[in-house]
Amino acid sequence: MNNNITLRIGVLYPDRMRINGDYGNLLILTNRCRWRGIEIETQSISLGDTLASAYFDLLLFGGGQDWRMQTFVADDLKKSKEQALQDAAAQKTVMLLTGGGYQLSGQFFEAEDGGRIPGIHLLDTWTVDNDEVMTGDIIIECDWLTPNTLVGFESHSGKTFLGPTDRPLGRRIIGQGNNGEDAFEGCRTEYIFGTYLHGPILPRNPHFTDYLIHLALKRRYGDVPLIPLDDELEWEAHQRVLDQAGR
Amino acid sequence: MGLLRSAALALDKSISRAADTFELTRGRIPPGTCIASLWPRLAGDLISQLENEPVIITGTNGKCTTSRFLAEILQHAGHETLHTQEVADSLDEVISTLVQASSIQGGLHADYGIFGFDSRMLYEAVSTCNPRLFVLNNLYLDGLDFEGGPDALMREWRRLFNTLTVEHHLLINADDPILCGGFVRGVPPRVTYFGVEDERLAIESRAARFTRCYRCGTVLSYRLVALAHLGDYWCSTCGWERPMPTIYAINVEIQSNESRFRIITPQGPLDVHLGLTGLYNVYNAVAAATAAVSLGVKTATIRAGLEKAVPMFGRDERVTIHNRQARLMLIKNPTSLNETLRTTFMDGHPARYLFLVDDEIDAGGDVSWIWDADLEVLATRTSTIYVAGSGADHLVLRLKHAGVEVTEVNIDIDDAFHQTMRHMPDNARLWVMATDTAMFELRQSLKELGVL
Repeated sequence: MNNNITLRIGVLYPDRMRINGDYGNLLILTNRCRWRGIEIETQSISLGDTLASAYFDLLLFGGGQDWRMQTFVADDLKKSKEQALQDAAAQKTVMLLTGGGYQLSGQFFEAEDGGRIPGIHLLDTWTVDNDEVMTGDIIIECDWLTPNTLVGFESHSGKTFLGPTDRPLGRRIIGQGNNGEDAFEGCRTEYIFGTYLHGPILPRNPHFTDYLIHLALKRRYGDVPLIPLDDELEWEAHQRVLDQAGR
Repeated sequence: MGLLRSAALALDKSISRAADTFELTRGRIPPGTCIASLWPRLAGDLISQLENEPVIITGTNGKCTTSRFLAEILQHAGHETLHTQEVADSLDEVISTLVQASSIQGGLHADYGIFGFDSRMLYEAVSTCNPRLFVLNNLYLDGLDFEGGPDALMREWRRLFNTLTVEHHLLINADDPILCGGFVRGVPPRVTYFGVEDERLAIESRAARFTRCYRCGTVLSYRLVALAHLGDYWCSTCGWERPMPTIYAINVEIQSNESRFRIITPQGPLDVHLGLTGLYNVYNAVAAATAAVSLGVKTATIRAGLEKAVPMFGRDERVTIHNRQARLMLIKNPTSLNETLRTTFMDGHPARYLFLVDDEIDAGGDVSWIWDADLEVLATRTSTIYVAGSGADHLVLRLKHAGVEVTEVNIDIDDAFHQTMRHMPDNARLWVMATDTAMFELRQSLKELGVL
């Protein structure tokens, strides 16, 4: 067992997380740690709350594309969290950004009327709203992950584009990915992972979950070998998406 | 109506009937499908023949049942009434209802048309149907598949409602702060609020903990949460609060088979004994009663109509085979699953569940939402759980992380249902919790057996 270890998870704007199944990401991280004897400490960080930049090992920022809440959240990020999040990134805090969280972590989100919601520049991406909703199963290939596939479900109208310094999370095999135009899905740095994969992303991708846990523990505990778990059901669900796509 | 159109209508009805009779398309060529694209004003032409302007019912949950309740009431009042059997996410369902009721010559003789519309379809519904009465049931964030979220939806609705006059009557669920939040900057001229008032209904709800004031963004306070984020709410910062309902239910008693409650109306109270369970159905009944009151129906007739109502497509339909009962419960978002589970817990016995989950994307089967539902409640109870359908593996994974043990998994829906029923003791009950396409498949098979 991985005893005497605690993973500190901060959940940004949890009131926006109970949609698109994103709550599942927190549940999976919690269970996969507890089953290994790793303690979990979870804190919600919502509108008006202060974020202690050095405290968390892993931050989750998810949510849908509710324009009004996006505006509230974007204002709050600018006012009280942008600097702390950038400091956290500099201190190698691992971040999983999904959907609306991914969009707001770039340079800006441009609405249909041309109005821009400023982002917090954790990534160099930008997002433009679009009429067409991109929805369906998605499979991406990631050259930094073993096995190298991630599966999920996407449902977004925003088209996200990578800046010159950005690396994609993966190359889309099935689905629309960032924008349906280029070959990419998501964006990553060494410690930050932005994506449109819902479904949610973690349950059917146990290898990615463990990658995040391992990386997040590194900051305070060094290289912690994770005890293998029985992932038969997880891989069955992963494989079925691949099978349906003829992979 | 021209001869050509009349002939086209006749042909359309024949094709649809033939497809149904010979099960060529498993009921998926509804009347009007063939003719609608050739006759763009078909819906409008038929609706104009109704004696009264149609009633539109919209929101996330309860549209079909509310439509059914209101239709029963109006029929009981002696009015010929049409209503959509399924929620219209396009005009097709409305066209189908109208074409089915029309004669081959295109004549339509009905007093009322009641159409349940997907919340995204309201603008199109109004421009086609020209309604005078709107029922706004609820907006659940977890079931709101509208790009831009509730604010974008409400913005679109407001644009529409700003054009309303005193001739238009809006009936709004006062207990829903997301719905009512859309009207904080002004309400249309004629609005009636409905709701439920019973302190004994108070529950703990995660959805309510996160619902914000649409005026100032503060997390709302609740005097009472009744269902998901519905209840008696107020904002501690700006003072915005739940509007007082004019028509509301009190003394609500819900059992696993039925419910009893009193509806207070300006015309006097009515005591209802509904053959359906679940607080959501009490809300649906109050919504229908509010619509009926505004259409001038007497309270005794409203009561009789509600009590006559039977469940619709998978909404607590009951099937008995060899002394074993199956209750068919449609699940389509976290709120409907949470509330259905709450209903099953009223049974008092260790429950048997068969979850049927279809996640074919083409059929709209994204089941991401199962991760947002409170399936953890099953871990604290003695239950036997079977799972089937193409999305079974996804649900089994969800249940694993909820700490719930699954007894058996099967891919084939029909096979799973009959095997489970066969192995149950006499007089036992099976709760069949099915997503839309899975429910359709099971119902077709039960119809073929003649038990539904």
